[in-house]
Amino acid sequence: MAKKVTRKDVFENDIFTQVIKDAKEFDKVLKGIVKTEKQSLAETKKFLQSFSGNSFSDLQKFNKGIKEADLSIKTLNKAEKEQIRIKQRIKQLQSDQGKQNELLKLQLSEQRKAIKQTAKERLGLVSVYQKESARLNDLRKKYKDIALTQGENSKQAKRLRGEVTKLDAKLKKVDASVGQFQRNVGNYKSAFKGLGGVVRSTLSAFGFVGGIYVFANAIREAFTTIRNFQKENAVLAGVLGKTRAEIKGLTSDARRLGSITAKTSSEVTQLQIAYARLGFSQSEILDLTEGTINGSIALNAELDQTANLVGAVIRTFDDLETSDATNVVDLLSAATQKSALNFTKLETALPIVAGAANAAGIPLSSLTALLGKLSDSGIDASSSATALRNIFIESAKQGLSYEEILDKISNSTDQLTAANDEFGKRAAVSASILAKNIKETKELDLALQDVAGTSQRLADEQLDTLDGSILKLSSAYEGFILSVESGEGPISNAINSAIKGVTTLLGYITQLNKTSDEFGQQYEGSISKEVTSIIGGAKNSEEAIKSLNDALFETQIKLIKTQERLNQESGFFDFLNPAKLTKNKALEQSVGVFEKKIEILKTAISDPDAFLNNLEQATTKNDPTTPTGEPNPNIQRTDVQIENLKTRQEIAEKYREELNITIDALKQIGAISDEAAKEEEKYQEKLKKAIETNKAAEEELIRKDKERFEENKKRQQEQIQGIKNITTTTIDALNRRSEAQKTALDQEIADREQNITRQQELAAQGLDNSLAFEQQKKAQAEVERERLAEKQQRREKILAYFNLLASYAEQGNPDGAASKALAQVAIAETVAGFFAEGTESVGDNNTTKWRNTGTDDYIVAVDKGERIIAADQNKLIGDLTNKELSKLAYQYNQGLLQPKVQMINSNGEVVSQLKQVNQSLSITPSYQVNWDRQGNLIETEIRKGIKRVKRTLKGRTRI
Amino acid sequence: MKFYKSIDELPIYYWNQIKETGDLSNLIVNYNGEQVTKYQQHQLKQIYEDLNKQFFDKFGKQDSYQEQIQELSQLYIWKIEGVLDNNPAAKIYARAEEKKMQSRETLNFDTTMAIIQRKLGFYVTAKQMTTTDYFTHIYLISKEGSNG
Repeated sequence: MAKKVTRKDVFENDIFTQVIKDAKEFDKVLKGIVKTEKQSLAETKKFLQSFSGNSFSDLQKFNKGIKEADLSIKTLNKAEKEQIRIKQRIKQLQSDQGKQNELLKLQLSEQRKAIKQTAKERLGLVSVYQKESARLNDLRKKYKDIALTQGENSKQAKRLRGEVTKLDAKLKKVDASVGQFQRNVGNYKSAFKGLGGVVRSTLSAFGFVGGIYVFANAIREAFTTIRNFQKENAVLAGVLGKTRAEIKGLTSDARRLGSITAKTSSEVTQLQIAYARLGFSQSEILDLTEGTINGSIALNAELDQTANLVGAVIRTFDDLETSDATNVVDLLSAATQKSALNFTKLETALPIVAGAANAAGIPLSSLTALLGKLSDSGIDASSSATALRNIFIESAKQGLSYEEILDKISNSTDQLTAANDEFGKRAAVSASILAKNIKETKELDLALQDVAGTSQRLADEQLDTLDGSILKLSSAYEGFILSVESGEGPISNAINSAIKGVTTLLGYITQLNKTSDEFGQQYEGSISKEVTSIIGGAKNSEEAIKSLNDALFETQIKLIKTQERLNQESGFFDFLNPAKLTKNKALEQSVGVFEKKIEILKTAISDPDAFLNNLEQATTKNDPTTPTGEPNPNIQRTDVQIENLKTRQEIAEKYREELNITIDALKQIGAISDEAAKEEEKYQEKLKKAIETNKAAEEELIRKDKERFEENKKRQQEQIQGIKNITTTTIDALNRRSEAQKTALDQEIADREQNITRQQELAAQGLDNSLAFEQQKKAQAEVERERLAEKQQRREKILAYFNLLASYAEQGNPDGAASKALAQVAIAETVAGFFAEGTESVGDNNTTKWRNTGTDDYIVAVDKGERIIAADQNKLIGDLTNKELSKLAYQYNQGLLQPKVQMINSNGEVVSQLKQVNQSLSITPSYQVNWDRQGNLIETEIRKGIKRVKRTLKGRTRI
Repeated sequence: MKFYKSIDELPIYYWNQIKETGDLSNLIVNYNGEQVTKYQQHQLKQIYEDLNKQFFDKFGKQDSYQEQIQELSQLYIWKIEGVLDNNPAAKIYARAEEKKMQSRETLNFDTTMAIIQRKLGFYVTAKQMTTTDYFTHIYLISKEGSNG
């Protein structure tokens, strides 16, 4: 089994560590330089401050000092620049390291997923349905990539889209067939489309998904919301020609409406922009906004379209004011409920006819009722509006009301002709319809006059659906974010109590909810007191102004310094670092306080007396009445504030309720997640079982293999032992014979020697002798004896081979035993040869004791690790070069060479080998030589089992 | 080799040359380019330092000179404060002071000589006028200017 891959194997955590370490070291050195230079500068400064310039030596020191100061300043600037660079580098390296790790993590995670999937497929745990579902996901991903890179209408994108649609439909059909609709219902992404990341964030916050990563998304989205809202407010301020501070009322109203209606604060601001573009003032916009929002929902129209229509109506009718916006919206909404009118028709008709209606003194309700009736009769909006306009104009021309003329038409027998006569052919049809419906139109008119709260009711009805709830939740979330941003606490308090996990986030964001202006306002009182004490401490107004100016100068310097620090230290991602955030906020607070102080000081400098008077008045703000006895406006303001607070508390309560509903919904989602978790458990269980079954089968297989192996081993051992026994017996017999032959030959040699001595004596006496013959025979006997000894040695080798074979077979590897034994015998032979002659490896150093032990006079240089091969060994290997020899040996060691001797693998082969051995033994002629007492040579030869004895008499041969 | 050892005898021409070029061989009387040994170079440095001391003793106590030194001193105090305390106001002051010093009108050597000659009413070369005389004339002229 492969080794388990651990995190350590994959992540090279210290890939940048050394570089970062070096950079930090460098930073340390730079800090040292900065410290030294600063010390030197401090000393120079001290000298300069006490420098009088009265002596020449002073002057010399002065010259030296300023030169050094120049140098120090230059070095310091350089070192500080370098410090900044090195810090950025460290930051970048740390980020690179993080990226690298993340990349590897991602790769590992992907790899694991792929392995898991493959494992599931192999184990058959992935059904066809699951496979198809996975394929659908893959196809979707591919399609998205292609759509982005090659365009949605590219050939490949079209093909993939086709496949996706087809497969999706197929799977949905299967789901539906078993009553499952998860593919639609469970598709939370589409269901929660309006919410997007908001829901994901909330889910996480409630712990249903538990993904910490969503936390970061929540922050990002929160900031996007805040930024967009601020951007839109800037646009609004621009359209109104005001500053952002001057449109605070609209901003806070947008936040409020964003929180309590289905529209987000940003959408409300867009609505305000639409009204501002129509020329409405701030207070008018405040009147119009809320009604328009409800109208937009009730009329099922976009906010800006609704704004255009409502704005146009209010501008057109003299008796309508912006405060009537809600009534107008209610009326129009009711009209869509009580007639065939809808927003589009109203949007088309009203601009055409409203002007004429207003001129004719016809109220909006009557006009809408007329349009409603015409719409009920199937007249299109544009035609009916044009017709009505003509009717109103013609009526005015005749000095009659349109109702009187309609009555006239109604009373005529041929209403169409009468209508044509009265209003011309373009208005004739509409007029005749209205003439027929005078009563119904009046009823509708009356009904439209009593419609207060219609748009609110309709809006509530529309939002009382899943989509509506989600919309409200989305809007509420945005309201929450913006309320936190603006410092309005009730919503954040409500959410805070419900979501403990997001407390930290809220903590961070709350830090941001005050601007430097607000800080300034917060400290206005204490600053005023401080300024007052400056003025009070002066003897006269001249001295007061001087002191104030000094304070102003000092504050300005402090402000510059603080702003500089703030610019240096603040960064985009500070909100992720609470410590930095707090620090920067403290700086921002200082900026606010300094700015406020400058403002107050400037006011005080311009007129210290007036400043003191104003301050005195301000301190009486808590008195219930002013000196004139009238109610104190400050106290009134406090009452209003209390009221506002109460309202906010009510809103908070309402949201708590909604929050509970949301939590229930989310719990349901959580239950679905639990189901998924159960499924996962089941799968794990199956996987475990499959692994266990597999393991048991594997163990059984191993056991059987082992048994087979043992049997085989035993059988082969028996066979080898059999061969060994036979061989030993045979060789023993042969050796015995050889010994006998050797003894006979020894005897013959001894006899020959005696004969030689005798013949030498005869030769010395000059007598006939057979010395030469005897000598020849002795030599022959010696050769024969040597030959016998060699034969015996060969037999010993064979015996050694079988002994080793049996021994290795006993050790447990019968299959490898033959080759191993053969190799050992060969090695033994070779080693024996090496020790006898030639030189083994000279070893690793030149202290090897067999230096200069060659058998001839050659002196050769041998380097470390080299060896020399003896002549007979060289012959044995057929004069192969060292290179060829080592190559062969390498191939043999690597198992690339088949040994010439066949492995004894089966019983049949063993028997065959044995036969060969026997045969070789039997066909080898046995030859024995002896001499009898008369000196005759007796030769005994056994060939193929036949014994032949040959006696050679002195001088002749006889058989 | 003979040297000018006093500003009372050193022609202003050579004083000005040293200030402009830093070449101390201008302190050698009738110098015609011969080799200056290391020992002589050392002597020249000491003489120059002494001449500066003479100059400071004679003219260094004058208000205008002291003012200049004090201005320079203040400039460096601000420069150092700007760097040490990261004080933006000090940096601004230092820059303003530097600008002020740079923009101050200074007369070049030849113009000053011409003014002195006009004041004296006769032509005198820079090689004839001693350093002491030159600065005394300047002091008197500037005094006259401030009084008139």
